[in-house]
Amino acid sequence: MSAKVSITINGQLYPATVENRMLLVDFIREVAGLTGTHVGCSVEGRCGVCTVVLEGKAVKSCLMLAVQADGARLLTIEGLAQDGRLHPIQEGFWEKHALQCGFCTPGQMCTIYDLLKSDRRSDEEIRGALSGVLCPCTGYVHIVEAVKAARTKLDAMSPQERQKFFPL
Amino acid sequence: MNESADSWVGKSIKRKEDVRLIRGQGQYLSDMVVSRMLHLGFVRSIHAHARIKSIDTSQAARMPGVVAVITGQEFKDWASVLTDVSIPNLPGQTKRPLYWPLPADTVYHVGEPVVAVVARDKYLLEDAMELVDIDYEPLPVVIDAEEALKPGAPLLYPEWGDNIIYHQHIQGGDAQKAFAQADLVISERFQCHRTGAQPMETRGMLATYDEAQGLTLWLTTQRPHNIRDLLASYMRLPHDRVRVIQPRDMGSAFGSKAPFYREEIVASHLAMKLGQPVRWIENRMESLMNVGQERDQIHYVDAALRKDGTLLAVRDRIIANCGDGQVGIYAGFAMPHLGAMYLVNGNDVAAVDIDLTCVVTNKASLTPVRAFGSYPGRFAVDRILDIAGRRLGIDPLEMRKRNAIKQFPHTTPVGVHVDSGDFIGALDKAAAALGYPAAFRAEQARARDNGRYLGVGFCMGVELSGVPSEVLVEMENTPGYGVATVNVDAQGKVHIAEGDSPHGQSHETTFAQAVASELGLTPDDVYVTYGDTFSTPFSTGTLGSRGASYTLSAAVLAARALRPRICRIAAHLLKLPPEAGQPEQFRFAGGEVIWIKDPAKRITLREIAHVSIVAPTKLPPGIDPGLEHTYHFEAAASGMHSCNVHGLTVEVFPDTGKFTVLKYVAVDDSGLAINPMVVRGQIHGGVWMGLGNATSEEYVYDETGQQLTATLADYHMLSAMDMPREFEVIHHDVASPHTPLGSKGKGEGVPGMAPAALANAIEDALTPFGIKITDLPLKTEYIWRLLHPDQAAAKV
Amino acid sequence: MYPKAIESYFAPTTVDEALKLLTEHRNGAKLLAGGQSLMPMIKFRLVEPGCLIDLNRIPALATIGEADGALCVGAMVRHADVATHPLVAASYPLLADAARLIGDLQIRNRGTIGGSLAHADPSADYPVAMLALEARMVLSRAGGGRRVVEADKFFVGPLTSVLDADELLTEIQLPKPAARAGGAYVKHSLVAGDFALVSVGVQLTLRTDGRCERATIAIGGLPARAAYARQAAKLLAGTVLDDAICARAGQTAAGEVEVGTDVRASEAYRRGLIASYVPAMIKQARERAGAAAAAKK
Repeated sequence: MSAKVSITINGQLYPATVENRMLLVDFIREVAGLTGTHVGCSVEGRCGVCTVVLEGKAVKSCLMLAVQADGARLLTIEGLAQDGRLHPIQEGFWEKHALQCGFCTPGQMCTIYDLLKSDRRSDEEIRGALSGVLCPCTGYVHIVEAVKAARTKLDAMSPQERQKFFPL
Repeated sequence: MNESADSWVGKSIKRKEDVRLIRGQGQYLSDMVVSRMLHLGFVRSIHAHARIKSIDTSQAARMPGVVAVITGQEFKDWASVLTDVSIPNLPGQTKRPLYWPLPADTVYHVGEPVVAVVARDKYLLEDAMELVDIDYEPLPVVIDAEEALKPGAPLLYPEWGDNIIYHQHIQGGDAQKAFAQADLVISERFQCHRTGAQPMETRGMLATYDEAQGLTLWLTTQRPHNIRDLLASYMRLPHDRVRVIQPRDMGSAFGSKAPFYREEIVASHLAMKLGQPVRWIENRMESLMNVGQERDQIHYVDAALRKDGTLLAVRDRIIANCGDGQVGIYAGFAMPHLGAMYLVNGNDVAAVDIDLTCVVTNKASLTPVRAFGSYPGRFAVDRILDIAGRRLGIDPLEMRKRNAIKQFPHTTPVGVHVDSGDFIGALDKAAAALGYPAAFRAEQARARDNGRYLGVGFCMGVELSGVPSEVLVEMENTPGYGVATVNVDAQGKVHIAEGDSPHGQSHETTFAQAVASELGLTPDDVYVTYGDTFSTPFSTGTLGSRGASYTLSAAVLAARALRPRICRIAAHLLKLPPEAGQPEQFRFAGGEVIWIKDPAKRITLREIAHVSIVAPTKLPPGIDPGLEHTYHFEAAASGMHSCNVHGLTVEVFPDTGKFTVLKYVAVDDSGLAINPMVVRGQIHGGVWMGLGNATSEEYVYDETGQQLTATLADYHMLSAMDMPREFEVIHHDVASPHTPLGSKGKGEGVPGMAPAALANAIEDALTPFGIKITDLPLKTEYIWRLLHPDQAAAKV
Repeated sequence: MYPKAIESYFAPTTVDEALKLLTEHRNGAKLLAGGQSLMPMIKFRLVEPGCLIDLNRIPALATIGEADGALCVGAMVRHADVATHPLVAASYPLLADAARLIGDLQIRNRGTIGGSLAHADPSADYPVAMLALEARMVLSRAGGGRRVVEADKFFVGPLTSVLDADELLTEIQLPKPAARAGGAYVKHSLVAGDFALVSVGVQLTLRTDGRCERATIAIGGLPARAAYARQAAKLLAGTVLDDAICARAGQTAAGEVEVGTDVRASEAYRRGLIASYVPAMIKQARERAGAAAAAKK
């Protein structure tokens, strides 16, 4: 019924004993206490606000069990800033007013983290990457602009600098 | 107004809210953890209409970790939830549905809460809820509003004798005469489906109680003061022992968090009973089954026109499907009422005759959703303009120009006051942005030659810029004024306490911009608090575009009210001549108060505040300590509005009924945009909702009242891939004469523009096929059926 | 919202281990692949596994490689990798199209081809591609048992495949395409990424004279399972695939498959969509086949 797990989130190790059925999003929010990641739907896993980065890929943490992430490395919104510097994604969101209520923002940012690691740059590719996180407040218009702004900032960095912002 | 180059008004600065939100440091309801917190869950009705025969809670109650299980028996001696102060008091005939926090013996829609279970752990809670056994006797179900009106239909409330919760006849001008004189009369039936909003954060609450302080309810609410009052009244608790707090961050609402629901009563009661904090977090299925459902109306419209396209009169028989009406404040019918009052919207029509029938059915009660009742009516009237235009050979832009309100202020035949705006200018801008008419029509013709179908559509309308007390007191037993307390603190920073509850509307930023500009500060010097009924003035909540219209105006005027006292203190501390103390002799800039006559004479606001609050011995005689002012702002007009035009171009694919919006243009009036970027954000989101509501979002009930759209896999909201690739917002501001800055509220009405613009554009694209669109949603199948009636009817 | 208690959870690292566990726990066990379909069911308590066997730590199941000209796709290959793998893009563009249209980025990061096929949702994207490409599924059981099932025989009905309780789908085999082969896939859904109201996959090969050698047409969004439009496909053989024959094929396909009415769409509309999309996909497949032929010259 329970298992011992050790999950690294934002570089910090969280060992715990959890029920097999505990959802990964609940581990993040309640065991690790990182409430930046949110829950927006019940069973369907459609809204995307629970999206985090797992070993470099954006995944919906409500569709995984904590036990599945034993030994894995996660990144959440709280782990985006590096050495006290905001991530270009965070800066882009701030500059372009890409959030209003902020509830889906963590999911958007983790999804964009995955996108920015690739070389998918066109508007269509950006929209395609965003389709898994719903945002009734912004209608995505400013979010697309924020992604482009982040991309511009990253392009201007040296490879080493850029790499710092993508630890996973 | 402080005419200083330091004005922050009109600047698209970055938001203050974002400092915490982009870091994941928001404090939403479900982020709060208190010790000994218990988890509350509701076992809900699986029938649309049924009598509860028996409930067996024994197995659930016995489960280790379960603390309490209660049913409607707990509340059977209580009053019914809807009282004189929690039901609209509108002209017309109102009936009151009787219902309790948990049902005594009858359930009225699938998803209604029946049994409350409290457990120590939220996973265990679900295990326990499965063990509750409810035995129902199903009763006849009625889902369709027109069916519910037929004699012999199942009655939700037999004592009523019918299924009509509200009926109103609204008249203005002489419609009969107008119809007699008309060159053309158009009659159409329009239907809008049940659709609305699902905020990303569902509802939630944390109720705590102790003997010393009473009840504290942390609640995702748009109106903490109203809920506090209603809760205190209903639960018969002294007002000083009830505190409602909206958490600092709330994941949007769009109206779904405005009503007075059942769950807050049950959670509060349980917290009191158990002496432990009780938390309820709504899950998405509960949300889809119970809240965010609106629109759902049929309009039988007759329009009388002159042959030059002028609308002489509109008659409308409206049938609204209000669900079971069991929701506090709105009772399912407040929205259709306001929608009916706004029917002719931005059109200058001399006569109106509206018959509104609000019907109860075994669906969830309507709850307010952004556009508040106006969505179906806007669709109907803007469709009428295009349909009539076609008959008369007048193009859609001309039709709107002929009928637009041109003289301001304007009062509609039913008394809606439109203070200011410019439709003609807005129509021209929308048309220009779409290359209409010349460039677009040429492109359309070329496309048709190549077998492609492009179309253009417009919608024109007024949107609420706040709601005056005149309307709100009657409709919701609450005032419309905006109120803010502006307090310069001991270190010269300015604290604004507002009674409303922003949740994405950027008040922390825009209010800071406005007030900073009044006092020569920067937005970083101004901080805004809200949400706690113990530390903010009573206010009616964040809804109806009240922010920039009423509440921000109150903050500005409160700040201005402090200037004379600040100047007197400045003059005293600067040892200026006795007559030099009048506010017009000073400039507020850079955090200082500067004597215009000799700018070397200057003193910081911080120093003034220090004296006023900490060292009052240095104050001039006759000046009391403190720099605080509360201002209640009520506009000197019975209504303020913004005047907007939306337009779009679309490509339609007749083989499949698919369509793609090519370009969407919103020409928007926000009076004076405090932060234009914030205004654009509101437009984008409103259009997202308008388009999604018009196309893919639908709450579907089968004939037995079962909900077929109880997950987000079935209730389809638009993703980034579904939005128009080109989206332009054009600011066309006409200052309101009634607000200190000329600002207008923004956000509420936006969705209502989209359905007609889209339907008009699709119909325009399909002109060669001669179809007529009268129904929402605009599913691709609907378009296809209009185009291929033979195939639609064929049997294989 | 939350799963029922899960008695045992295993994360084997080899196929053999997984099969052993499956045999041991049989009817009480559920295999967990990407979880994008199974987890919602577990959370809704439609499925209450006493034992969960997590396949995500078995590297042997996540490979893509060629064997005897056929492409062998491990069951645990993620949709994102199916969509972008060079071998898939080069020889099976229909499959890449289908994988690319599944859900959203997050779903494609976790969801797997094997998991999706085993789930057998009639409105999913892969079944159409599997039929059109005449794929074969490799089903394994403990003790070395193995059977290879043609795609058309793999799907039984809604959420039902021929998989036994102690069988694991380990690999999907795609036959080596002919020299002049091309395929295309389209899905019509209510919103982007959603399940298909109707989906169409066409795979065809051209003769050296440019006429159609052979075609398969598969339709999805049907009530029971994806199905071939065999008569429509037969019409195409030997023809130049002109507009008229494509339109006829569309009409034929629309009439021959078993279509249903549900909350998403009516039967009549689905037939209309099939009649429209089949010709479009034939044309796109033909273009790709021509391009493939040109590329190989």
